[in-house]
Amino acid sequence: MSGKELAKLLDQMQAQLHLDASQRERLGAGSQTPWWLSGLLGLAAWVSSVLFILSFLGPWLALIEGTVGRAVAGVLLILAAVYLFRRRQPFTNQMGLALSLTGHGLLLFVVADRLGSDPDTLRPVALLGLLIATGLLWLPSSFLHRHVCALLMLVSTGVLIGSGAALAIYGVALAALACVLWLCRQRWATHSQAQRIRALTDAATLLSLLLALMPHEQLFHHMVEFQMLEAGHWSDAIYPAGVGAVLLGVVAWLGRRTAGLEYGLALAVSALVALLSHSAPGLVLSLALALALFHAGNRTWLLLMPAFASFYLFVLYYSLHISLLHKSLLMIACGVVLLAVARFIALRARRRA
Amino acid sequence: MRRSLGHKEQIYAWAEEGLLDKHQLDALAAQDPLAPDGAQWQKGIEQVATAAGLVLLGAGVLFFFAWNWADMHRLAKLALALMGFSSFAVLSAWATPASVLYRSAMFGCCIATGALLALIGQTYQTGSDIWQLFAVWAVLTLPWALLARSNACWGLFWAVGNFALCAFLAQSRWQGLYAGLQAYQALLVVAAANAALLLVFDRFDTLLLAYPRRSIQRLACLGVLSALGCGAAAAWWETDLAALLLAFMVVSAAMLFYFHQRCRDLPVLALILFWMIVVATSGLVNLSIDADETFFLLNGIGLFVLVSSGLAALWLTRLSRESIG
Repeated sequence: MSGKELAKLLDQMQAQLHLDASQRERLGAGSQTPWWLSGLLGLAAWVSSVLFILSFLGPWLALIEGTVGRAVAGVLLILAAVYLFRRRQPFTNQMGLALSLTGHGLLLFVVADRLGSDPDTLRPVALLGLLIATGLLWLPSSFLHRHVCALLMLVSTGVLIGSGAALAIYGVALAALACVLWLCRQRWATHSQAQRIRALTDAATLLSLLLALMPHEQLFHHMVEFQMLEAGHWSDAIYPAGVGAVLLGVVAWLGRRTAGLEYGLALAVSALVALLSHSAPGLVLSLALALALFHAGNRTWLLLMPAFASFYLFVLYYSLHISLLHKSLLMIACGVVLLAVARFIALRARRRA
Repeated sequence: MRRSLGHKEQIYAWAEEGLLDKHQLDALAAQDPLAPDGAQWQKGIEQVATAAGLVLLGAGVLFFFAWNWADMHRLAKLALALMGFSSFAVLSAWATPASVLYRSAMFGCCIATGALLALIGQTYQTGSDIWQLFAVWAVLTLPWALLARSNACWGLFWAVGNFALCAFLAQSRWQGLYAGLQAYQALLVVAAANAALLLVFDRFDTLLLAYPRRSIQRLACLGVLSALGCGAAAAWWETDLAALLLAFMVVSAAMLFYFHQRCRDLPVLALILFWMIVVATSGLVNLSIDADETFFLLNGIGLFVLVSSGLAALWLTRLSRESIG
């Protein structure tokens, strides 16, 4: 938001809430750092952090070799990060993030190194990652660090779950969690743990979108050889049905106060879209999330939804689970349904006017 | 007046950071609900359903043609591409000038022009270099950008034009690398082209854009500073580029003065400071490697980046707070 817009909003709020000068100043100072400043600070902080980490780790590991040395170095880096987060400055927050991630990574490396390169060792590493990320999420830190920790928690849980039907259910559960949290945003926004809930909400939204790409795993076979996260063939049944249910749930909750006929129509159209997009569940998910995000007033995620849907169409094009003709027909059918909905709404509005 | 999405997002962010309590949030919601009302839902769903419906329909048609693209005659392929291009042109003729639909359709014309050129090049194997395709595309984008007066069309013109220029300088069939110029001259050409665009938009932005927002000026500044900054950072290692170091110092000082005193633009100021730090860091790395000082390389440079960017951040934050008032 530009400085002028922020000043206008503060003026409105001062009149509505009778804010005193000090609270107005706190709100102005508490507004999110502009993107160009965050970018400059982030880049500079990461460059200096990498140089400091190199200059610290080199002599340290030369002095104390082996697992113990690495583990202690990891803990020390995390402690340094915690200290930096207490300064609550944009620059120290970025440095803290770099140190915390390095410490976290070093501890996971120590465990993975001890257990060997067997794929089964991923689970203990993921469990440790989950524990460390949960602990770090609970410590006072920055907006970005909380988000990274929440994302690492959810990814570690995904690795612990493994692949197949369980991963499909996890994907649906994350989508449902993200939608529910966005729909109830006003209730938890002033909760004492709101910052952590927000981080979990954003992480669940991001991971549910990434998991929506997994059924089209042909793309990922070429990109990464990470068999533990292979999706299998669960795209056929569980995941599309689950995501369709999430869309129906969101529409049912949002339209609960509307008239009977319109409510039924909204549910019927949602069910039809979910049915038609059975082979492209990512489109249904982006629609469900977009509705929840519009309700929650989150502009950033709302702008990212069309970008995700476009990327999903790109992935779908190369996916081999159905033919191009099948994909083409399903998209034309969905497009016609959505255009009919838009036309119906426009006609109804004109009739009412 | 209803709050915009940006305002709602900011209010929620304050509440989540603990800067607004429950009573204050409830009071704000009571005066103007934070959730959209019936009319907003109606408008939002109508717009989303129209946009998503058109995209899905368009993608469906594209997928259908991709399904039997290999079997199609080359004239049929060209006819299809021309049909796509014409549909954008017809849509722009039908839409209200300066509306979102009009500007989107014009942007579609710009993209379709590039796709058509690529298809012609692929079908008839014209043998032209990549820079020629992009240069023609940039020239053909101009009329649409002038008519649309949109940031997106001019942004595309900037990106395509710069790519064509860089590709020409990097690969020229007749005159070799940098089109027969010295490396520093080639970088100066890129910087000069962007500076010309900056001057044009600084002077005539109200004529060239329906809603002037300084985006094109910022992109042009990015072009000027990137060309000169890359050259100046490399000048510590290549003495042939020394002229660029001087040019960077003069231009960045002039821009710093202009965008601070005359025409306050904080993102551009941040960009200038960033490039100054990069160029100075490159110089320090060069000095410490020459002196064989690994300890200084790791710690001294880290400290320099930390202090310089910290000071830059402090100054920019102060300017940003001044602008909020």
